[in-house]
Amino acid sequence: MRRTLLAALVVAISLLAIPPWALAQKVLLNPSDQSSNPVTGGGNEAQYALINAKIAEAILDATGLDAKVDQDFLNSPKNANSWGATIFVSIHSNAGGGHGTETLYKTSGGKALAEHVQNGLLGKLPYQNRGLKLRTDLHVLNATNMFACLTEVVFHDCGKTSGYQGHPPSEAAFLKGADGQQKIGSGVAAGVCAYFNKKCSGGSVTPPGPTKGFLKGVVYKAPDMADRIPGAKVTLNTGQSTTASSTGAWSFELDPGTYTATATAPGFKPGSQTRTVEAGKDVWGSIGLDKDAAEPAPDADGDGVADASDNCPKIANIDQKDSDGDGIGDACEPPPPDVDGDGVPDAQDNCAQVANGDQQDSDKDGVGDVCEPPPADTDGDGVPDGNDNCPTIPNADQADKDADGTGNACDVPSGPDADGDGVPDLTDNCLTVANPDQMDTDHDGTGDACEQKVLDSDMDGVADATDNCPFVANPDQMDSDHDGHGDACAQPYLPGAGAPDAGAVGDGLAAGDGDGPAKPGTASGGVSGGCGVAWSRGGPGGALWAMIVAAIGCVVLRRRTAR
Amino acid sequence: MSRRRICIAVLACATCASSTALGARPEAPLLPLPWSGAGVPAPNFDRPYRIGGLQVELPDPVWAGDGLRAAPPRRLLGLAPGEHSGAAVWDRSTGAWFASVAGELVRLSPEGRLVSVASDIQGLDVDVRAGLGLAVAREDDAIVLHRFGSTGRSKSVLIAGEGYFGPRLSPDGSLVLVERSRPDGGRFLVVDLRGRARDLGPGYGAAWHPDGRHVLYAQVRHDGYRILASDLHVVDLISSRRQLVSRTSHTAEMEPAVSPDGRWLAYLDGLTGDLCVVSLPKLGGR
Repeated sequence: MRRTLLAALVVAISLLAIPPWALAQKVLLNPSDQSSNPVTGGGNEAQYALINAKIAEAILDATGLDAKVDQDFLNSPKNANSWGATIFVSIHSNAGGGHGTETLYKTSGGKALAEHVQNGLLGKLPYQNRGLKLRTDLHVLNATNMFACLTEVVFHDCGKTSGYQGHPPSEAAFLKGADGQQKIGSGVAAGVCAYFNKKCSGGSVTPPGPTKGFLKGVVYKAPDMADRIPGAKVTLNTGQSTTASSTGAWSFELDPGTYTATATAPGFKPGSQTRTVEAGKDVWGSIGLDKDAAEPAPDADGDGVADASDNCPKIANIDQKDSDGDGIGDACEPPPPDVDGDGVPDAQDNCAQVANGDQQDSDKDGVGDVCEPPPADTDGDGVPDGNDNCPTIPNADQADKDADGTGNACDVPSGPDADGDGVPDLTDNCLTVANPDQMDTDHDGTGDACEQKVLDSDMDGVADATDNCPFVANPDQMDSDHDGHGDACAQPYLPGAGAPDAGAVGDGLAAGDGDGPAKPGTASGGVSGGCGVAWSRGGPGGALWAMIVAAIGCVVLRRRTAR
Repeated sequence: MSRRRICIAVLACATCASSTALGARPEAPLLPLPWSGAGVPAPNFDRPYRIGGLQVELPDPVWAGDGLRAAPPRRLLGLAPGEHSGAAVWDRSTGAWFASVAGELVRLSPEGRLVSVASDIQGLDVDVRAGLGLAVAREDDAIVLHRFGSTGRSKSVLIAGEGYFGPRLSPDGSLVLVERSRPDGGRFLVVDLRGRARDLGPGYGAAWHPDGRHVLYAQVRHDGYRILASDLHVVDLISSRRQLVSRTSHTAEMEPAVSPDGRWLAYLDGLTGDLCVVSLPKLGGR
């Protein structure tokens, strides 16, 4: 049961897949040619069979089927085969003393057809149903390659009105009469129509013929007709269009005329066929489409260059570059030397000996950075000279206290700095007082720090510059003789010979320890050589004096030593 | 079992096995010719090699380039259900099978392809001399000549009227043998490529002899239902002389087909449906 259902489903799907045009419905009607068989009351079998066939033909044509009558017993099967008939119906009348209608078949397909024809006749004829009969010896059933049957419509030798059920007229009379002929012809047609699941039109002897024909075909990949193009669009010059079925088939029902059908499909060049359509006929206009582009040649590396012409078929090289012109693409040439193995051939490597895949060349001098000579570092402190704020003296810390761009290590020594204020004495506007700011308010070249201390060597409150006795305190400045020298300085002053302690406490001068006369040879500074006299800083006058005194003292001492 | 019976059994079996074959390849396989062996008497109409039990629906002997088949390919690969095509024909000019499919003339490639060689072939019943760029087709009620290939594309009606069918080109392609179905009995005729016809009289199943000069045909007796008897005849197109080829009482010789070398004649026994083969007497010499 399940198998039956499945089979039915498959058949149903198959039928759905068949486009209507594919079911060519050509009917060959073969009336008996047995003119030697007389019909009771006049005429012969062939004569009336032909009439019946013609009536059926007209009805079938009017219904839209393509019917043809061929009375040649021997050749009608071949004619039907050659024509491509869908079914073959042979129309005979019986003899031998029986009554009624019977239809003969050979194959199962023929039996189905025979059943429809028999039923069609029984619907019109008032005679006995003799049923369907299998026959394997009939030429028309043996020589046809489509479903076929042979019907014996009535008994032409039955002239009695007391035929089956006693209905008049007799079967022979029925066969001869126009009414009977119309019923027989329409009965055969009705059976054929039913076989094709159609309703026969009219029944009139002269029904209107078909007014349209079919233009049909398939779309295929030229030149192989077995290779169809489902979904191809087929358009007529009238603007009508349709889509090819899953089998590439298409069809138009058209008024008679000449039409051009054009098929298009993605990837194919359009193709056209021009055909003339006739009413009631099928005309074929199958269309083979050529591929839009030539079949792509083998291209193993997919670089768009066919292998046959690719100078390097296994390695994609769209540019086909062949630098040495040897016919072998660069891509296929043996790998060029690459000593450092960085992937850059030596010939192109900006540093062939050292791997530098990035080919960095910061100074763009053509020599990769990794191949540049190491930067100069004269002092070897790890800081290249170019960046070293003191390239000649190791100073890895690059300290630059004065932020003058020169490292501390390289800051040029500027000589003594007595007051330690960072300003060399040579440029210090105040040597004795630390004044890093070198402020000099009155711009007199002397720093403010030094301006505030007026030299007063004898501490008598009178500055040395105006003191009439600068080294002997004489606050009163008594100068009795008005010679410019204070009375306190009336005696010549010999330093070191009972002279007032130059280094007296509070005089502001450091002489020796500062609290007593300096002992010879114990100078803590100043001129060496045994003349250890500490000279105070003072005005030029004082210095001059000190120098003179010192010179005299040295001469005396040397003479005494010499004795 | 005699050698002959063995051979016949082999042939029948091979034919049975082929009955379900579809496609571009011939439905019926080549039928080997065991009688050609030494010591085997040549078959004749009284004692033909008879190949019975053929499972093809319509035995229709055909000689292809490589031997005899019980029938030409009738069903082709690549067609949709319900899509009709004509039976294939063997083209001796190209050594290939051709057929009409959906308005195209196709060559059946060994790979099963249907290679279109010409379009606008409206009929199913065709014959081809592709090497000459010629095809003929029965198209409804006319026999149409198609020229294609290097000779250019054209079609012209050779003869028109109801009942013309079965156009077959002569071996050299200069004439077309046509049959006609008529209420008073079939006839056959030859038509040249300009459409000039010559009625050769009543006859059934006319076929070319490979010499292109003789045509074989059957004269059949029947009762309107069944074949009663049939004999083969030959007509010489030059002399118009007719000659009886076979006269047997036990066989209805029909559908003659002569081998390309002219040595063998295959035919259908209309009484049994068997395929028979005989050694063909030389024609025209008597």
